[in-house]
Amino acid sequence: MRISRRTLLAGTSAAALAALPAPAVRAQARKFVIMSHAVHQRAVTGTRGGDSSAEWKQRAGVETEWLTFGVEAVHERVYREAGLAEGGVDVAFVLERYGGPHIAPLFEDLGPHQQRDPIEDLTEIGAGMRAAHTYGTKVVGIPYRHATHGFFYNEALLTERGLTRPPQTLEEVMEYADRLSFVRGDGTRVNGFVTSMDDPSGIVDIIRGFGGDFISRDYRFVADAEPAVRAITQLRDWFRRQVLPRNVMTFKTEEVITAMQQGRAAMTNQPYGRFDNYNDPRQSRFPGQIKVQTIPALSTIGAAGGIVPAKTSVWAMAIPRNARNKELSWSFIKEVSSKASTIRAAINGNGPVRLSAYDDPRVQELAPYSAFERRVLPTAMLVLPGFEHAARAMDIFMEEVQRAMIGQAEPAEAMRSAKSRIEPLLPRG
Amino acid sequence: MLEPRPVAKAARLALAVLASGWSVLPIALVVLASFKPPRDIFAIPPTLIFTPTLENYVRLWELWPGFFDNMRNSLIITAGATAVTVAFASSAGYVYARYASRLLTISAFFMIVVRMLPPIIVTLPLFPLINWLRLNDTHIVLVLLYSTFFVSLATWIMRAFIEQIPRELEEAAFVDGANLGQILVRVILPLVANGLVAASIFVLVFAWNEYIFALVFTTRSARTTPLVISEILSTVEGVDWGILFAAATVQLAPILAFVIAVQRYVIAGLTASAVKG
Repeated sequence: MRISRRTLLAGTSAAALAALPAPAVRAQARKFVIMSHAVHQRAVTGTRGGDSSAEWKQRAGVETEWLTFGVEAVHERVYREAGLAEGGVDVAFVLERYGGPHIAPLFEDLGPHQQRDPIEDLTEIGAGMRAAHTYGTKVVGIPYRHATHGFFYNEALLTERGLTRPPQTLEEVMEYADRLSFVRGDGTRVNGFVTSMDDPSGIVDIIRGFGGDFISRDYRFVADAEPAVRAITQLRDWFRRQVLPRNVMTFKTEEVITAMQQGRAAMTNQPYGRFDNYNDPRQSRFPGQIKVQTIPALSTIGAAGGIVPAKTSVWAMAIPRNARNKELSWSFIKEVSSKASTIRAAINGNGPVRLSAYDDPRVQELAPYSAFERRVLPTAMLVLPGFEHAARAMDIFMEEVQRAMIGQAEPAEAMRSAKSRIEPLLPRG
Repeated sequence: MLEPRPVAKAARLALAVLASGWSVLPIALVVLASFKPPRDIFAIPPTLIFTPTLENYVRLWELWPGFFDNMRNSLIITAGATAVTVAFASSAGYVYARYASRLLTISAFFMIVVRMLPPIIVTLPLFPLINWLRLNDTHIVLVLLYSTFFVSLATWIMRAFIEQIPRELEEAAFVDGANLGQILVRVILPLVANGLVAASIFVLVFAWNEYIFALVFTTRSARTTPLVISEILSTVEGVDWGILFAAATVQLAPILAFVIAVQRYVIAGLTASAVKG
């Protein structure tokens, strides 16, 4: 047989392609692959509270493999993997902020699984949290971790300014913020209040403290109403008088943490879990002196001492529609969602989605704020309900809020502008 | 030649110091911060005199062992991409330097076009193809992608160097019985070592630090260190800056060591082709 150069090239190319290694996710077919952020792996398998998946692995006869990525990267990967014809991921952890009805087709409906083989006492997990990962009637995720905002204050700085107790109302927060904006004896400039400005989560707490909101659960833009405009006017006033740092517009969570740890800010609203960061002697100049409580609302809203329905965000476990063995995936979710596993995960540092976990003495010992967090959990709300253009809506909102804060527009005018830009993005009727 | 005036000399020196400081200061701050206790990293005023600690490096080792595991992948991919790029660029550079035709002009145009495409444009359409080829999460996919993006630049660098070599040398070698391959390997390449190093540096720095392709096309087996650094930065529990700066310093060290080792060639390589004739 005569072999031409073309035949030889084609033959060697085909042989080379056949010899190429298979994608790693598929190559290790016997492994149960979980795609998540590293924090979930630590919560499920941590040593302090114990490995919630250990017994399940024995029973199921599988080894787990955790593929962890950063917050944005994990969603980018999960959605892309779930879009393939053949999948290599068995369970994925997703955050509601990156979700919406448009991603629902990528995942298994967990409703029928729950009916067939129910997770114990699932209704103990707040309805709001479960709704965060339910689109229409399709249950896309089972909540596993939440990050709900509390109100942090530096007790040492309060004492230094003659304030003997934390603020109980939003009016007091405003008064305290003024008094806590000062220059310390060592030359450190302290700002009375800081919050993250890269998304609306910090701002929305303050708007809700005034009785307003951003987007209602029935997808109406409501930040142009009087309470929200008042809140933004207050923020503008704080910015003008440097109660907020001059560079607050660039503040993300990391800057807020650093400002609190260094004593350059006296109060903030952040997830309760930050308690450990703020009081870590390795990183903080005020270890043990940064306390947390619920976020106070205006005294004129509801009963005196009322609390803000604080911002929460919810990570949930989902099964990609192309997962190889969905029964096995569900059995894993069921295992790590149990009451016992929730407590183990909380001891490993997780924000427990079950209220009963807060009653466990070990959890209470490790998280001194658990009583406050338990109190706010039933009323905590997402920044906004999930929809396809939620990220764009949040960006527009922050643009307009910042425009008002730096004085380029009156708060009411900025919110009217936000409304006209955001309303076309909202789901219709 | 006229001696520069003292004022002009001082101004030039000051500009050089300013330019160096502008480039070096941020890197120096990161490296210094990696040896500071975490609570002092963001202290105002900054602590310039402190007792250095390896605490951040120890914690990087303990909490992010994957960083060091994945460094092996980074090394393999960077070395592979550099070798492939330089090999192809040398051959192509020789052809562009020594031959002229309409086809070559068109191919040169397409090489430039590939270089102009933002990586993100080609990344997503490539994903299903790479997946279908079963190349996902392999070293080879990143080696090929990095080479593809840098072979054009490297080719132009090599072309400029090869053009400066007198053709008579090749003709002499040809008369002595050398074939084209031998001429390229034994005559041309030793004379363009500076160009090879200059081209390698570009690929090396790009491949060592590249993020987007690595994010899209690797999962675990071929994961590179920039992905781990991104994960350290994208934590939900607050960034541990000490660990992050330690990781950045470790990431920087090999490339810095390489550049310092070959700096003699780099400077010669980057300037040699600037003047011709």
